[in-house]
Order: sequence, then structure tokens, then C-alpha cells
Amino acid sequence: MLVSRFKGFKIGALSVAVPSHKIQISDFYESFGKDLVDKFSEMAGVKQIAHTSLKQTASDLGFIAAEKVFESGKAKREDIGVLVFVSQKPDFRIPATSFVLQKRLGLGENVICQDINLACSGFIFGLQTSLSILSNLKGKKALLITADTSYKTMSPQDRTMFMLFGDSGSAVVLEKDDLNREQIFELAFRTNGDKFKSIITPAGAFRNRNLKPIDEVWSDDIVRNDYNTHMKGMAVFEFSITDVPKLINDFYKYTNTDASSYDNFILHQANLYILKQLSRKCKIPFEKIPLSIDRFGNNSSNSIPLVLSDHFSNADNKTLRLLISGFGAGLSWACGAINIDTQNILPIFISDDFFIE
Amino acid sequence: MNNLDKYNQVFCETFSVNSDVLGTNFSNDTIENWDSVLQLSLVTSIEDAFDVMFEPEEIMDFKSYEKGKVILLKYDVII
Repeated sequence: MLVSRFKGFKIGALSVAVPSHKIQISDFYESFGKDLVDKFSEMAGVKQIAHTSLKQTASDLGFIAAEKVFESGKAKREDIGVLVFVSQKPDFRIPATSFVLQKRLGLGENVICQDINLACSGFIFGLQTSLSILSNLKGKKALLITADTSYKTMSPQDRTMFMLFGDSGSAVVLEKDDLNREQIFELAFRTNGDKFKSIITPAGAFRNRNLKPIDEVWSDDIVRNDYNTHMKGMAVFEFSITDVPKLINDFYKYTNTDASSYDNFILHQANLYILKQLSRKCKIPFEKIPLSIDRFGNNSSNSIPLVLSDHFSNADNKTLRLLISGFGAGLSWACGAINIDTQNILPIFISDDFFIE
Repeated sequence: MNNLDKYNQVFCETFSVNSDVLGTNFSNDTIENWDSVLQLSLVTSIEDAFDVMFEPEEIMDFKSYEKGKVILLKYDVII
């Protein structure tokens, strides 16, 4: 377990954007059959997801969320010295999308821009990168944007994934906390590249650049092509209910904490059954795990900000001590202890805007 | 309803089959649509039906009609 410790930082603002186009789980009856869809919904906990239009990208959602942060007055554009964009759906092959967002947001030249290609663990890896850079930049703030439009590389015939993933984007401002210099963000990580094929989009980059997109029946009896994302469902499930709780339990030991040490557990919304397993394996009272998967599905790197905005944007002002965890492609998994003032959490904003450069 | 009836009912509802096809040959190797969605749906329904909660390795191992009976025996559920 790798651990990063950051002292004297806080989340100055958190904002989330979601597209308006909602898909009810019953809308999949025609594609997959009522029986299977209902079983899926009961197991995974998904009743509704939101998808972007073909024109709206992950960066558009992240941009909208970031604009809401600036409109709120909780950060100014000139304060931003770090821009990290976490997504698996960039706007272009070159350049990194963080530069596109830098321009669109009008951030000026004094900004370190970085993209991170990660999915469901991405928010916590993004926190680590942002805080690491910020630690060496005096007087600046970091803007961490996580966003994904996962369905865009999925086979519409993939009954294991197509009903599960929703789209959204978030913007989080990280900054020095001059009032509470003892406040600690502690983040823990593990990765396993040996299992990189567990979640993979085989074609579209340079290893398999010229493959023809031929739809075929794969070994799991699902029709897809090499440009579609493929997840080894049971292998990823096993990883989620063994490696992830082990990391959280190791983190408890390392930090000398237990489930009672945290107000809430903001966990990647993989599926409801996995969340129940994590609750059990990490001795977390299930009511301490806020759920958004029912109305938004699995939102990849954006699960954690989405849950925070969904459940705490209208809460009474208080500081929450949270245990967060995300896990997915790589394979990669992470957890951490963070604080957040609920007054810095903005409500979910719905928008279908897109921005063609 | 006895345990065998409950057990069979979960399989029939999960895989949309009649109970007469359930037996030693009913497994993820022989049932075409036995994928991760139905495996987790099966396990969830079995847990609810018998008020148990499986360990991760048991969930992964629950890949046939007969294997499920052996796993349930660990929880003193005799099918």
C-alpha cells in the first residue's frame, strides 16, 4: 500500500454537471428483455441513468461544473495554478484535454495542465496528483476535473455494461487551508498492471490502430467490436470484493481508525451488490454509505463527487470526515480520509451544452 | 415450501427454466446465458431466500446447481 499524506489543504468548492437525457431501466426491456433487466436492476441497484448527446463530451460536463464553481465565487480563475483532467474519453488524441479546458475556462498561462487516463479510481488518483503539484506552488489553487461519457465506447448489446454506466462531470478546487493547518488528507493506493486486460478498449489507440470495427460474438456471448470497452465481469467483481476491502481494512490499521471514525463512506458506485459486500467486509453500517447509483448509475471517476453533491449540497453547514474509495481499470484501487465543509458543495447542475473549439 | 423447492425456485426464476432441467449438468459451462449479471442475481436471490451472506470466494465458486448445495451446507442449509 502506498500512502500520500497532505497537511493543511481543503476542498474549497465541489460542483457536478449531469446531462438532461434520462434513461429509465425499463427503456432497456426491448433490447434485453424485461426479466433480465429487472434482475439486473435489483442486483445492481440501477433504476435510471443519464447519457450525453453524441456532441457533448466529458470535457463539456467538466467545463460546465467548473464554470459553476467560478460563478459561485468560491474560486477565481486567476487563482488556479494546476488543472488536472481525469477521464477515459478525451476530446482529441493530441493535445491533452486539460489544455482545451485551460483555454475554454480562460485560465491564462501560469497553469500546469495534466490529463490522467483513469476510470473509477480516478478521483483519488487525481487528488494525489493535484495536491502533490500544489504542494510546491505557493499561493495557487488546483482545479481537479473528473468526467466521463463511458457509454460511448460500449456495445449497445452489452447487457453487463450498457445499463450500468451514466455520464457526468465534476470540478473540485483544492487549496491551502490557512484556518486549519493541521487538517490532513491521507490517501492510499494499489495498482495491478498484470490485469490490464480486465477492463479494456482494445482498438482506437496505436497498438491496434487499423483494426476494422467488425461486430462479432465474444466469448461471453455478447456482440461487440474491438473499439468497444470490454469488462471481465466476474473477475472485476472478485477484485472489487477482495482487493478493495483489503485496502480499506489495511488503511484502517495504518491510520489507527475504524468505521466509527468517519461520518460517511463515499464509495465508488460500482453496483449495489458490491457496495453491500464492502459494507460487510469493512464493517461499515450500510446507512453510512450514501447511494446515488439508483438515479445516476456507475459514473466512473466521477462517482465520488456525484455522491457528495447529490447528498450533501443542501445539508446543514458542517465539516464531514469521510472515507472515500474508488476502484477499477488498470487495475487500480484507492481509498483515503478527507474532510469537506458541506457549504463548499454545490448542487448538481443539469446541462446539455457542448463546446466545439 | 421446503429448502429444495426454495432453491429450485431461485434457479428457475433466475435462468427462466423449468425445474426439470435442474441437476448435475446445470452449470455456467452448460447454460449459455449464465453471465456475470445472472451469477450475481442468482447469488443475491439465494442469499435472500436462505438469509445467508456468502464469502467472496463462495460467490465466485457458485457456478453450478450442485456446487451451490455444497456451499449452502456450510451455512447449515441442507438442500
